[in-house]
Amino acid sequence: MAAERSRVVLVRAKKGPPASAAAPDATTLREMVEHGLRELADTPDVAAAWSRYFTRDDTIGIKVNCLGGPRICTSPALAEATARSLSALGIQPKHVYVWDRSARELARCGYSLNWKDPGRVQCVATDIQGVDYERDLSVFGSIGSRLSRVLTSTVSAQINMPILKDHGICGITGALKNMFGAIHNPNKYHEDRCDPFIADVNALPQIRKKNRLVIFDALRIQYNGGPGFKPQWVEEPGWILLSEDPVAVDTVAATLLDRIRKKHGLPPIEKDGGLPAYIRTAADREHALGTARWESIDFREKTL
Amino acid sequence: MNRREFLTASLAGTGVCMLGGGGLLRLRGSTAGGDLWNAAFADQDEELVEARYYTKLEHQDVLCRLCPRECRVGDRERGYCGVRENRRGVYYTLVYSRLCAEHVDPIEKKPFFHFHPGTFAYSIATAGCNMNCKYCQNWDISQVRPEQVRSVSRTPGECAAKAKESGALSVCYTYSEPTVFYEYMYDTCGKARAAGLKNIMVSAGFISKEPLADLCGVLDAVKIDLKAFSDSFYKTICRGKRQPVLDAMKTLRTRGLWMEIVYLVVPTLNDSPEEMRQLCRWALGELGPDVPLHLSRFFPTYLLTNLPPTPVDTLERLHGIAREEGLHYVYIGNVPGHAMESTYCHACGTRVIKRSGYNVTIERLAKGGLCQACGTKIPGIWA
Repeated sequence: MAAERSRVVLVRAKKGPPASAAAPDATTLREMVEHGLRELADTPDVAAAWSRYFTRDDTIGIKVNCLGGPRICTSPALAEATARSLSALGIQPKHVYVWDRSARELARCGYSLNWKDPGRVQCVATDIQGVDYERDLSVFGSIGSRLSRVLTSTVSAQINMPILKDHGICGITGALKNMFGAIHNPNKYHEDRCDPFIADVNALPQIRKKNRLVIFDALRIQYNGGPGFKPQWVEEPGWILLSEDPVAVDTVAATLLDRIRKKHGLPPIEKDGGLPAYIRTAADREHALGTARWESIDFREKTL
Repeated sequence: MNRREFLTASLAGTGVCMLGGGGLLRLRGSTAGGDLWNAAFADQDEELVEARYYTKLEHQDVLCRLCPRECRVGDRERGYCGVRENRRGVYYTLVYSRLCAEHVDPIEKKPFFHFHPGTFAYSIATAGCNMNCKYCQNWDISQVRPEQVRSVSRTPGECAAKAKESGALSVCYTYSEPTVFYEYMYDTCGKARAAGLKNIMVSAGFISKEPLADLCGVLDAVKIDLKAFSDSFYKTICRGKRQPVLDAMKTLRTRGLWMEIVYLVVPTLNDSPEEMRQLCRWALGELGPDVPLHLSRFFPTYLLTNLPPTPVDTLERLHGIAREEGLHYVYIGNVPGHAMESTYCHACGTRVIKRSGYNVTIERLAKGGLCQACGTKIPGIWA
């Protein structure tokens, strides 16, 4: 990561955001994903772009974030659009698993659970029977957690698909924080602004190796009062962000969040205007999960 | 399907789930899975019990006041314990009547050595804990959420009936951390007492003053796991704080509940003679000399696997210090057959109760807890 700049691509729809972030237009979303992907991978061909991150033999997980409920969750349409786009690489719907920790939370957010119909994208949760967490602990630094077997046993590679929320404890909810949904005990790791816990979780080899790409749902942003949904502090810029580097994309996301907060007369998420501590920790030598230095980030903004 | 039926069904299913491998692929072709969770979660909402000791805040946040951690919890979030959840500004306990462990144990296993020795305790737990000790022996139930562990439904009344039926003298709230299943424990205490049973709790004592004060009215005895006498140990090894635990112990003593202390001696981390002296001097000053202190042997487990078991001579050295400082009843635990498992009259030194593991022989203890050799009252609650 050190020698090369980490690319982060922000894509917005041509005519402003999709009609509604709650029910975005599927075609537009797929175009946004593919546009961003081509820019990220430096190729005009969608299949070639996907092949930079996955092979046609992969079973791909899409880890969404549904904790906040239907009004502030990863858009099911974005997950679906991404899954459909993967067909360009020859990956069939039955080999794409959209997942989160809880079936109830997925269903509340409008996801249609499916593990029976091979003609559709699979959609599962760690808490449904027969899935569960690993029985053994995975340990790194200060954390010891059981990982979801969706991640460890079912998928061979993964797209991390977080949402962007202000978070009263740790600063922001983004790509790195989304991996708390892959462990059995996230409630134990919210002390000290989640630092170094979030970085430690992402440094687990099972997560580090399988997470190949972040497609960040910033169609709707909770810019204050998070992580729960607070309608008075929601903005719908209609963005998605793509990157291979979870630290870089979180760095960009935090910066964008601060810009929005400033526009609304709110203070930055960190008193000193810097990054949340856990993002900086994720970039340190021990974790080496990516870069948090703006000068090492190749940030590109694109409009359809 | 009601909640009880679901739990029964899911227990049967979980056996497969726990033993099975291969992840989601095993589910294909299953006809049960999807329908089951829907029924379960739809029903669960109706069965939840509102938590006690919390304050409603703006924007549907709540402030939990059950333990000194005082988690501020947003909508749809849970506190540190993982078993209390905010749903639209109302805080619920998710473990009421949801037992994940249920056994009949010798009371010495808790350990209680001065509370009805030789009797049995109907011992129960739910998932969850408000600390995260790196050496937790029961981490597979204490460090998980309720939905991540097998459980059975047992109302407080059913618990009391089961305990009575088992022949136990007491109901013991133990294994994980009873503080986090407070509402269930409290209500069960009431039912158990009405059935003529004693109520005893095994806890780390990391609980706020108000709930503890209320709990004192329904408990008979408490065993406190004092993790160390340094705040840094509490912070780094257990993710807790020392002072609230010391305060809780003083409250228990003031309220007249029988209390015993367990101190797990972890090599290099809390085994210094200085720390033991400080602990003993504090206990002597604040609790008196008669509160039994159990010095237990550590074995590597959970996240603390890089340390050896506590050498027995370390335990013996600390035992000597505690006696030297003036504590009357100091025991060595987790070393079956050790002479310091037995109870010796603090006045004349006569062995009044002989123990070897869970084998208990009342040797020279008269009715009412008097030493048969010298007539001194041995502190405790005796038959």
